[in-house]
Amino acid sequence: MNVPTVCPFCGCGCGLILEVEQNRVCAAFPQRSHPVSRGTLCIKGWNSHEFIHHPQRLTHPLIKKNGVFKQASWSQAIAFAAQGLQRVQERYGAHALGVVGSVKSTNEEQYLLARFSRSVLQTANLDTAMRLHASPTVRGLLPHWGYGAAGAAMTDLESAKAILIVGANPKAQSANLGSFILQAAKRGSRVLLIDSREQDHSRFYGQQIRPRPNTYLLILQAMLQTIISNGWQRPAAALSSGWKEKLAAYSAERAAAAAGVTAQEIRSLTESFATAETAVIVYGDGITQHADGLACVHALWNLAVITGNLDKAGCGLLPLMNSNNMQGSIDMGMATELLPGHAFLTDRSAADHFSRIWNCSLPEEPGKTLPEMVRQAGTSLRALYVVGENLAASMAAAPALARLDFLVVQDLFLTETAQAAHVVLPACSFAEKEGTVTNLERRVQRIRKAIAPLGESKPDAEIITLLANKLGSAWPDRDALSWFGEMQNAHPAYGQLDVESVSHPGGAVWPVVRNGSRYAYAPIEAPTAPGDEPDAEFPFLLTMGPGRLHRMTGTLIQHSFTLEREEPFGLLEVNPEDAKALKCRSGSAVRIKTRQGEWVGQAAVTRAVLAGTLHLSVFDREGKALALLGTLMDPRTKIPLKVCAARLEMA
Amino acid sequence: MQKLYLPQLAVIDQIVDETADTKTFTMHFDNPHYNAEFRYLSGQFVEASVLGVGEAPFGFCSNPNRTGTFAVTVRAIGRVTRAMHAMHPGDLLGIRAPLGNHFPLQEVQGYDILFVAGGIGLPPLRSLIEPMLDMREKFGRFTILYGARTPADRVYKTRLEEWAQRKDLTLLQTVDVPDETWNGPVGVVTTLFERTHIDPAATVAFTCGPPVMIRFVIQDLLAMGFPEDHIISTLERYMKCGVGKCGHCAIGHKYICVDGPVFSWRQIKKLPER
Amino acid sequence: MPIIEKWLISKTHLFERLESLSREQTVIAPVRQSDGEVSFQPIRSADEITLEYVNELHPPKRFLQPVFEPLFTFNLGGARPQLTAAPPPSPQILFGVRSCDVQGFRHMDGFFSGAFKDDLYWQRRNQTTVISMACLQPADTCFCICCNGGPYLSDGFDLQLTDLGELFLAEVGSSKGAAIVQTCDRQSAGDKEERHRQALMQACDEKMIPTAYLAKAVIAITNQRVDEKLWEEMGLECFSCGGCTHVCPCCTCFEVLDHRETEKTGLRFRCWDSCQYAGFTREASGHNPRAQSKERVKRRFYHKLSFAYIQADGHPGCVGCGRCITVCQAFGLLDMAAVVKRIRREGQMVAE
Repeated sequence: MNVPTVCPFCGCGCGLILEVEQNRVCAAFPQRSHPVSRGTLCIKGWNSHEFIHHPQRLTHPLIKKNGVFKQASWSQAIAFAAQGLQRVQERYGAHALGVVGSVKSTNEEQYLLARFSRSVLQTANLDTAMRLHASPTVRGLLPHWGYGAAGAAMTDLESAKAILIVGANPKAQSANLGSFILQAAKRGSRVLLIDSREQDHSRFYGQQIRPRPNTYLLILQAMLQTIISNGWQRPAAALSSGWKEKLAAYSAERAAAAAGVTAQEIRSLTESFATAETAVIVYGDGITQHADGLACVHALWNLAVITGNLDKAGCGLLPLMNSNNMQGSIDMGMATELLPGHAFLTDRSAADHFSRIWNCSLPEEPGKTLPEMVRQAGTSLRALYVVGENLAASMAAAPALARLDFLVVQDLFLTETAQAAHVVLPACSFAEKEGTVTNLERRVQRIRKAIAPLGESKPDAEIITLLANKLGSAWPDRDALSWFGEMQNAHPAYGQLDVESVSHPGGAVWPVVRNGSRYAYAPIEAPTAPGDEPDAEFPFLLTMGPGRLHRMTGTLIQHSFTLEREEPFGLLEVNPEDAKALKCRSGSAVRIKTRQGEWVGQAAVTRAVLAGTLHLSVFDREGKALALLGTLMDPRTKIPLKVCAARLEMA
Repeated sequence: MQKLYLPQLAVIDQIVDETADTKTFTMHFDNPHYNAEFRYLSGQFVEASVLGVGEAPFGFCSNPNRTGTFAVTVRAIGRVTRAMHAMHPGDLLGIRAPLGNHFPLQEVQGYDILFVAGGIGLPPLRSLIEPMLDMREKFGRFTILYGARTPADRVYKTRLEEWAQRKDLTLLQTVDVPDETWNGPVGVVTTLFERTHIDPAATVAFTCGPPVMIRFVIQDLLAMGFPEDHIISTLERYMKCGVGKCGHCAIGHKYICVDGPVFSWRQIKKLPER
Repeated sequence: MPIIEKWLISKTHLFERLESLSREQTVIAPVRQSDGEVSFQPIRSADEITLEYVNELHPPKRFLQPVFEPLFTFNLGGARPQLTAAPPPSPQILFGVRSCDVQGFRHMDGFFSGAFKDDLYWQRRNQTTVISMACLQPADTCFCICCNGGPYLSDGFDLQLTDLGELFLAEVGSSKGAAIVQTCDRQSAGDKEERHRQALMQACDEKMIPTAYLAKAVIAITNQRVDEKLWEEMGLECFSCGGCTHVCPCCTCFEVLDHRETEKTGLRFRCWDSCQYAGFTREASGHNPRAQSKERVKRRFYHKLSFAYIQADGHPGCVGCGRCITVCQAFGLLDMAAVVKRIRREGQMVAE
């Protein structure tokens, strides 16, 4: 039996066919008629069936007694979870409860979890890993564009005359997006890359400039300034007073000096971009997870507005989403400052609407974000309900989790986070449930049940409903997809879709309201001090970010034989000049020390990183690599930064 | 009943610690009839299974003339090898053997014999050294050069003692990093060449060890004037099926598991990737 | 060459026969899926069969070498571990397989023979009846005429069908094919049908655009004369997705893994693997002889096109099905047709 569904890994949302025999998913292969995959998949997609039947899948609820997990029945586990949460709520109040969702759950499940958090637990503390990757996109784009989402589709890359990639490695991070871009480059479109690291495809692109990390904002502002001073803006967008003047401070020379590039490089790249008839801007974690991420998103928005690259074919912003339904987390309001349908919680009319349909009161101000929940665990936050997120790996949160009074974890595997739980609820995989997911271009697609849930595992939606009802609600016991209707009521754009349209190969893209290119500019913001600068003791600038396989928390990848085998360990990229000074070779054991921690691993000597910088793509289950970074975060979006000063030694 | 991939059960008789991370497993087949019939040749290998964990290849290290049991020396570096290290005498392994080609034994009679081994490269050569010593008179000068990282990293320390006592062979050992117990030479194994007398025209050399070492050994042997087919080595690759089907161990159009693991330099140098 | 029996069988009659055969054995035929694609699937009713397809992306080699194939089960519960070989496969008919895939089967037959005959493969193969379908209309990715892969065959099938409208022309290639024909109402094919078929075959040949001129690439790869820079460029382009090898009818590499179902029981299985993965050759020590993508791309084409392999297999490792064109993430850059062309042009550039 062939079951069409959607790949569970990155944000591309490739169409997959699962081959099922005797309730076993034996193979995954690409859908030829799918607009994203077009008959192709990356290594993750081709092997996406492997983790489904992994022997370590959780198949029974577990309750911890005297520090040891004991198998329990569903009714025992749900009662135990409900009591635990209730106890904390009674003792400390609802604000001591937190909910962390998964950027891999379906839209319906994320909607339900947001509703559960707001109306059943009545807590303002809800978030997902979206915080760690895309929160500057939401905060930066929503007020100006109306949506915390992409304005371009992948097919726009086919017609775009120019593609500007900033702080992203599409080939590694979102392969099919990289595939569209490689094709565009080979066809002769101007592909322009701003990234400190060289990429496999760099040499096929038109131009790359390699600024030092943390200097991207200066480059982007200099591009705006260059556009204005050369009169390349189009149409002649009305500039608010003072806006243009503010830009005067950002010359190409200033940016060049700070970034270690030449002003000429910046000017020529700007010209290629601004004079192209149409352009798509692709950006990723190299923007959002570095200093001034929000200001950079504002600058990219301004670049799109000033060149008229919005609302037309072959135009728009295309932020990378690292997970198959990170966009869904935003769309469904699974974040403390958001409500479903791209409204801020502080938008009172939206808040009133949801108070009414959810029959609850909503707070006026956001509660705790994910990093805040972790940091305040054991003090103002006493209990967490974690659905499919390994916080021990994504937030180095194991010590924080140990401080909680009560922890409920719902997952496929006994992750390090689940090991810290008081009760573990076994969830089932994408192949065992129905629902919809939304890719990085707002494409809403069906995932389909290919096999019965393994053991006693259940779909997230069913578990959330059980828990809600145990806590006094009376939610109907319906299958996940039938929540689609209620979700549609909550989200105006989804309201224009129906189950049938999202069931076709490629599903349906949720529509945006076009504004006829009369968009307001975002503010011009000055760079801030990132806070952890290199000095004599820590002379390197270390960046971390998702790679091809070392991405997110690695729970699925490390339980997939072929994917785990492909890159069994993370590598620290070191420039040959720096390596020479240290007498370090590819494969040498090295130690990185930062002000916060240390990590030992293997070096990969490569010109892909600039001299004086190091790059690490790694997930380690204990979160040791992450602990290198400390707690620096962007003050406005609360996104933890993935840059810090470091020292490199031979281990 | 398909047999190609189905292992025979073997009982572990003895486990000897060789180094901190290396053990030698002596075993026999559980089925007495199968065990009585079982024969193998120096240089061949086994696919050993820890059921539920996986299967991995190991060269025989034992003397093929001693039938009834056989042995492999295993360094714990992967999942299967770590699982083997956790086993005890009396435990059962799955074994598919013998696999692969073998060292030339009859063909090299009358020649001087030179062994150059590094670290964990000694075990497969031991399965040739011992049957050769069983008919020592058939060969000329007999030299064994052995290099290891530290004195403790040497395998078969008792056997090395015995060989050192023998008058009919020369054993020279060296280590990269000496300790207080060591009063022998220090340096890579190729530094031992100058301490021995070798007649390249009359000698066949067998070398086994880490790929880097083999490269330097072959380079030096060629420089001494060894004919290309008098340099015999083994090639190693990630190997799965052991019967030339899974494709992992292919180099050029050769499959290490059936065309090898034993190759002469003349054969190796023709391979398109090595 | 044996004289091939040729018969005319009405389409509806053959479909009915297949439907009744599906009561006794697995009949696998092209079936239109919910997403519009055609896929080879077990059928129970003739109504499920469609003839409107060229080739399925997921090649029918999976019916001879499944993506996931148990080797044996084990039970560690008793005093002695119990190993039980996988049960023998049941008989199957593959209906409508294209010529290129049949040539792929023959490639696999050769590979799984030899000193270590793969009994697991052959159990399945011997239980399989191949009813192939000569092609009348190639897809724009097809280049079987460059690789002796089709569009029609003179042997290698059990029964080869040519679609003559209401009728199939059925050519018997083996006793298994004859056994099926013997249970059908049939008449001998005459000169008229033979001429009709010849015309159809020629028309298909004419429609085919030969895109993969192998000769130059075979020579350059065999003599290791391909510019290293070209491999390097292709290595950087390559996404190492493994798709090309998964869909290739000639690729057979597999991984062997143990799967524990309970603490004491489980199975060992083999599953498709790809030489395009870095993990394919990485040793337990971490050393990887093909760590770089360029080495892996080079390996793929060495296996497909070097004289050493052509001589060993009796055939290049390509049947011209064109699937690698569709499946490659580096669209149009690393499929067989593209690489052959790039090697050819690179060669000219170097020579000039």
